[in-house]
Amino acid sequence: MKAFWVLLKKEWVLEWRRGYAFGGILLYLFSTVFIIYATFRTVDILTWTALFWIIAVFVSVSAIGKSFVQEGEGRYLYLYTLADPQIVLAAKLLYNFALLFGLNLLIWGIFSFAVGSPVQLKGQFLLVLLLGSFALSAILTFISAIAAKAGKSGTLMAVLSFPLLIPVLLTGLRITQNTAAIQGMSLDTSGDFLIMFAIILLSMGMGFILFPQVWKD
Amino acid sequence: MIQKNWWKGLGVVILIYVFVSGLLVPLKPGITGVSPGSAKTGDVLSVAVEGYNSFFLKGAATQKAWLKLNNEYLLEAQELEVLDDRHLNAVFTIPAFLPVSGKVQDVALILDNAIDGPSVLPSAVFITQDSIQPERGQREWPVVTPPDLHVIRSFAFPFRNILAESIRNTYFHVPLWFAMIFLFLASIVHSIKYLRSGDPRADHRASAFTSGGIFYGLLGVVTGAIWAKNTWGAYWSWDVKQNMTAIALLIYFAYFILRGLFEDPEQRARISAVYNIFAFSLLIPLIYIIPRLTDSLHPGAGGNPALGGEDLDNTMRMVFYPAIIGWTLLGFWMVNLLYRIKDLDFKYLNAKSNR
Repeated sequence: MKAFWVLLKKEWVLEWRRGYAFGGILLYLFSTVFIIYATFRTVDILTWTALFWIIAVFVSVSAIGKSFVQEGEGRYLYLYTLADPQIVLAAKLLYNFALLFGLNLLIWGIFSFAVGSPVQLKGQFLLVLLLGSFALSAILTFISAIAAKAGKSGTLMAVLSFPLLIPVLLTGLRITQNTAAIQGMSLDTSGDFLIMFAIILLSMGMGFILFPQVWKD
Repeated sequence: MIQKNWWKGLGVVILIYVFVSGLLVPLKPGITGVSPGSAKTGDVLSVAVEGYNSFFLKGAATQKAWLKLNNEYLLEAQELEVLDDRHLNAVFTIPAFLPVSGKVQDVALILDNAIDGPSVLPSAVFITQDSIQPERGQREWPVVTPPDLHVIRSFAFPFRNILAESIRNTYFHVPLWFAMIFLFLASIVHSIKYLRSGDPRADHRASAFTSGGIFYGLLGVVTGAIWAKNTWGAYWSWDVKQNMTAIALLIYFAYFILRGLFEDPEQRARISAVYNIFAFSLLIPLIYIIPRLTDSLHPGAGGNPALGGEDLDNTMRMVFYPAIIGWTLLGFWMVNLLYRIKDLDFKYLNAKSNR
């Protein structure tokens, strides 16, 4: 358990020391929103939700893509002697989840500032952000471990993860559109939340089972 | 030899049966068109009916025609004039009022004779009424007394409106998908085997089964697209089923890209096995989610006919189920050849490097 917290702290310290990584993501985010505002000016609900989730996915891919690549060969070996692979994965996963959730909140904030926010049911939207961030980080953390093994992380990350992210994206889109519905017109989204849970459980479960195989060399 | 390879012969024999019966067995008689397709209340409506695979001349003595409204009312033709085997004229006197409160109502056309048996064209004629008096309409329209239709037992596939001859795709497109799923499942089994044993031959099998699955997947897309062109009017219409297929194929293409990136065969085998299992487990929610999101035109969704219930009749079952087995066996045979080549390659390379 102690190893878990130490590893979690390590992720955080590394992120801070390499300010440029986090700064890069922020800049990426700002410039994307700027382009959207410059081209669309006003955004209807459908476009808003679509843009929100597309940006969320791209930002997550670039934020998590470096997760395992930054560990060079030597550090891999070092970590291997220190902790169980599952604990390493859990620490990365939790850290990435917190990072993504923060980034998604930030996207929401910037969006509201620049083009407004059509979200009515704020609680439900927060919940879908929370679950969506979790699902994205569970899938992307695992894929980034695979991509790091192949040594070419940039495009490989996108190629491997996009088809897998589509269900998360579509479910998130559906719930978000519902949170933007006019009061009293909202539909029952419990089924979609269940699907989100199923994706999280599947990707986390398979991740923890399969990660030792990726880890060993 | 025969004892070990009987299943290959069986697969080929079944597929020959599927091709021959699937393509040569005729369709049951049906109705392809009526004109005019609209009428007003009070008209004496004379419709020219075009039949398909029908024998109106032979069955002229027992030929009957009805217009059916909402499964409740049945209006028999007063006069029938058979022109030839494919064409006849039917004359109906439409009552002055409709028994419903809508302005326009569609009615189905039913034909029946002793040779062809019954055939139905849903929404054949649209009847417009100017003044709406359902009570009077209910008195004027004859209530259904089930007519005794001729039951013809013949070895023929059912005629379905719009689908027509393209119904034969049931023996190619659908079983190809079934076989594809079986191949992917087999690939997963071998990936798990590889992770447990580290036997390179399991990896050869896993990748060969994935290739086979992708090949069948592409064939499924092509047969589906040709069918869609003839029934939906476009090869690709961004239907949810088509999108799902595209995503599934993307995942498996990514699998091969991933394989290509590793130099070390042991690492390639391990990482690609991991990705194979991970991706397949995430395909499961995909298969359940996407169909829920929107309506689909695909058979089996939104009230379109598909495999369930009466849509797949017994004659079709006699070809459809063997088709699944046949395509699956052929797929396993192709994969078998593929992984044996890989095994030989591996042996040869090992022998060479040991020398």
